[in-house]
Amino acid sequence: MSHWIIQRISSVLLLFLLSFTIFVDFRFYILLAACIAVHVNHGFDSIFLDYVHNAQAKNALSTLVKFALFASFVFIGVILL
Amino acid sequence: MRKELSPHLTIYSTQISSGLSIFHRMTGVILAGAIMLVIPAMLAYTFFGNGIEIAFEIFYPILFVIMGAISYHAANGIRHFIWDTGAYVSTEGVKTTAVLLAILAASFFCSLLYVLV
Repeated sequence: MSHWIIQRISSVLLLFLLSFTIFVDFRFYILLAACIAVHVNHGFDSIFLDYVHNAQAKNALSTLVKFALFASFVFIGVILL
Repeated sequence: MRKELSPHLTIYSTQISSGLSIFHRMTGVILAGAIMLVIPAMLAYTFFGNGIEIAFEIFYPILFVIMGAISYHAANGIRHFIWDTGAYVSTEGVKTTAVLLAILAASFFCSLLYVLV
């Protein structure tokens, strides 16, 4: 249930923040990045939950996604801000 | 014997509902890949490539794929919101919303095309 709520809230925020950050005020980038991180992380968790049956592999993949997201957001933020 | 735990692609024949759901996940993965790999790579190339610009032949196909993926993913996300209210949760409803999804995704794509290109 909490997974479902988080996924829905982050998707609604994404719809607004994506256009707002790009076209109105780029300072909302941090909030946008947080929303994307939550949404993408939960999306991948759903996929891993369905297709990866090993708990350790599932956790490792989830951590990898978190790390990759964090690294790319820092990189994009440093260049564009 | 190792049994499958969830609806796997190898078990069921392709239906509109499963096909669109799989495509939703595929576009999600494409967008995640764009965020984690393509956009940082393009920015790095632009900013650290000693002024060398990305060729149109490379840039535009990537842009169109990302635009297509984001259009479909957003439109199908809205379809999920409609389902969350309990509406159109039937075989006929799925087919009806599939048509609406196609129209909405196409209009999103055209809007992005108008704004960005």
